[in-house]
Amino acid sequence: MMLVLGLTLLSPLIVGYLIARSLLPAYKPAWAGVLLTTSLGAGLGVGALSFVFFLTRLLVGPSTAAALTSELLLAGISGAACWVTRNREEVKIPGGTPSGWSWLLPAALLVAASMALALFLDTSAADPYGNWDAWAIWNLRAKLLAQQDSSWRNAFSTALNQLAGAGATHGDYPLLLSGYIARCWSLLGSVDDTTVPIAVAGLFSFATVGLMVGGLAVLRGWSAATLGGMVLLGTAAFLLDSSWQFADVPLGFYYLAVLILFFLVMGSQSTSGLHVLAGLALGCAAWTKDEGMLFALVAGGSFLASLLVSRKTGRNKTLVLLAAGALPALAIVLYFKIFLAPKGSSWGPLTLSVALHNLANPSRYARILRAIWDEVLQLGTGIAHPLIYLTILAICLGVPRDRLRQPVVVASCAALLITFAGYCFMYTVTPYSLDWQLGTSLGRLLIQLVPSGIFLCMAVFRTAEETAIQAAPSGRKSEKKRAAKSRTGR
Amino acid sequence: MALLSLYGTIEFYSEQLERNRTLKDPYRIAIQMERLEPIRRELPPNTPLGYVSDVAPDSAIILTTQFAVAPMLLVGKAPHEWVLGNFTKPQNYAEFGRAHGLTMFKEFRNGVVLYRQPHK
Repeated sequence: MMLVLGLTLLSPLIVGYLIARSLLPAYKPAWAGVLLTTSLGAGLGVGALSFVFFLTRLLVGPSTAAALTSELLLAGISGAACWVTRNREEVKIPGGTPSGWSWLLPAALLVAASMALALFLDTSAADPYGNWDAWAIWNLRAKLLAQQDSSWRNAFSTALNQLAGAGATHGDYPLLLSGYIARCWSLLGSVDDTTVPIAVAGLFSFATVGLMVGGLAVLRGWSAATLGGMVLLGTAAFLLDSSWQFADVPLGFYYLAVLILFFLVMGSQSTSGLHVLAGLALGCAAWTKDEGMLFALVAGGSFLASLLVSRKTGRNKTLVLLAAGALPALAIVLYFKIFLAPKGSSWGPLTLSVALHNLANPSRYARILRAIWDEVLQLGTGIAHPLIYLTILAICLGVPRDRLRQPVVVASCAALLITFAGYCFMYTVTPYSLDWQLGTSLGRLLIQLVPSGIFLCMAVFRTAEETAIQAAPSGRKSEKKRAAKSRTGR
Repeated sequence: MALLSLYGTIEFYSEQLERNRTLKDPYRIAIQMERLEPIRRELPPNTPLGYVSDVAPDSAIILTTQFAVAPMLLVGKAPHEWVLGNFTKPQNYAEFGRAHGLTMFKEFRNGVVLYRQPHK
């Protein structure tokens, strides 16, 4: 049983690694490249296997043999693609390696990561079924999807959670997380094993940290990577949500993956595989939650605009490759939404008149702003708050203006801000009790955006190495001035 | 900044460990799983189940019950032969069933009863 469980949980790491390795260049030093490829691959592997599981159920039916065959086929194709088309381009990354006292920074990151892991395990042991949405939506639907007869379709039935009232029925939510957990449970032959959802929650939480560190290491060097990882691990709300088994941490992972891949695409001249991976990450975001569909639309549009503004060569090829990665996934999401998902399940009572009435009510805006303020405060514990960390870093390291004007930075900021504005719009028009809606979801929605926000700040700030280089000439100038003063006796 | 962040992790770590000690499984899912296990053994997994209770409908109770009996689906209007009785207090379950047009099929422990709709 343990062997099957281990193999079931290990396969997305292998498949995802093969997919990512075949499309990413080899970054040097190797630790940064391996961390980026493994972390990105872990999330994309889960996404790919979730798509394969759902497609197999849809086309062949709930057969374990068919599911296993399609997975082996995917693993074979990924392995062959990795062997044949493996990107052998070597990319040297900036920043060198830590030396002297600066080794304390990676050591501190390791301490923080170890504590986060210990906390995750302790919380999961105390609460193995996760928090409310885990058992009310995601894992419940996974239990239904894992069935070996036609009742697997109950996961998107109108009857799902109908007895609990209109606000509890979510048969129309996308199926990445539930589908992947169902895939593991159906291979294990048991829907009661809490190890699976716990392991999936752990995979996404620590892959998010790995992706942040690996992505920043490749883009900005080891010091920015370490600091970015520490800011994320010092965010109490992220640590808290990690063990809840919700879809918000996975969605945050895919947002982060999209932004990192956009940065890598804009910084590379020839690496076409990055575009395909960015497209796949967009598709996975859309297959995770409804908010991910909004993000896929907004981020895709922002990236397109940044391509036009930057006058980068090969724009058409870039778009074709991005679409090649995103379209198969988005086609499945659209098929599910149009033909399978129960209509009006989550937002059923929302009508145009209700929306207009709510939009015209100024008190709702005040309540939303107050709730945002409260939830932003709760991201940290007292002064140990991500906004304080980032403010300190902005002051100490500095923010180069030319970097703020880079098209990819503007596009990424626009994607996150428009997505957040979309969330706020839905709060304004919601037909349900606004206080209930804010109280039960706003904190989680912020967690979706936090990793990307931290990444964006760290990508824009000057790195410690750049600050040191800038400080060195001015330091030498002041030394010369002091020497001249002492010579003249003034 | 690194020290402050590490302080944040340590601070939250100790707070959360304390919370984990005092607030284990706050929605009592494990207890519900154990209570409703006989129902899952009694009926095929794709059976739609009606629902009756001695307390007013509460989303927390209904959703934890739904998770515990899944893959069986608790249904309202959809046709169903079997009905789950979920009780908080001991009482005459057969009488309760008759008042709701149901025949008691089996009584399990901890206020769990399986009813059947006689005409179906």
